[in-house]
Amino acid sequence: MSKLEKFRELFDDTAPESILPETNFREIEEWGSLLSFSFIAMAKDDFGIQLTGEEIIKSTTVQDLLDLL
Amino acid sequence: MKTILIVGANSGVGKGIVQKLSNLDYQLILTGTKFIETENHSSYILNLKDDENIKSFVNQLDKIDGVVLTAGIIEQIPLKFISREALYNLFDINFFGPLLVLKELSKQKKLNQGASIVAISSIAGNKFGSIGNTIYASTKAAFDGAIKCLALELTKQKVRINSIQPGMLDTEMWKAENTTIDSETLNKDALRYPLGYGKPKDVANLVAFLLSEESTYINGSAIVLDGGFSVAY
Repeated sequence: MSKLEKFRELFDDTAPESILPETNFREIEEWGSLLSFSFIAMAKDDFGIQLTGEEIIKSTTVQDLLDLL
Repeated sequence: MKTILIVGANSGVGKGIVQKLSNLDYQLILTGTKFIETENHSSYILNLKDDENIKSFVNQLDKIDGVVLTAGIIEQIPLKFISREALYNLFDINFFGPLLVLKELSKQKKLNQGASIVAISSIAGNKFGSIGNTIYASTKAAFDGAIKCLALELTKQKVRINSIQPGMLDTEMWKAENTTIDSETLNKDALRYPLGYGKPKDVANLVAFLLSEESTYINGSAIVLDGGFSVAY
């Protein structure tokens, strides 16, 4: 599974195909603290990377987030 | 001079408690995950995940007059990412380990009559929910539940036990490099506290009171210390 596909799987109410690398993730209606924590948890569990909240806040697009992995 | 054991003395809150109690007439025994350099007190490395370490550590102590349980870790783990490993990791440090320290202190008869035990809990335990904190909140609720029963069990030894439930505290735990919560969110959250986030010294002052002769009728209580947050929400 690609990083983008893993990222899309975090969402429950958002159509996967609407989430693209260039998407501003904050404009996804479902995005919020739960998704932010989920992304960080995924990074730790699946990629062994410990991210901080500051790294999320400095990101804009989905690709920015995927580049952290 | 009375002797107080501080479990978790190198945490942000722990350091504040050490500073406060150092200025009072106490001999302190400090434990942490790392050795704490100290001129006036004794210091030990204590692994709260290791039963034998807990047992042998308590075995070498003389009788003590108070215990402060302030070791703790927090990690935001949404439901979909909860694992048995994550559950044990937080419960070991926040609940199982500290409880087993109390067990050994009691079993090895290391608590003097009149001793006071203070556990640092959280309003997250049984006051407020927050996203991602299912495990952390459960560890704190577990301890607050245990304290009610321990208060009854320890009465015969004339030992008191209480917990402090702080709200958010301004400690290094929440510095940008240590947390999954961003500074923007924390700054907004701090505005919800009528008196702002608490400081380690606020907890330390209440710890000092609960250890003192001024609080001998307080037992089995969980005392909220949140600057008015819980009455505002």
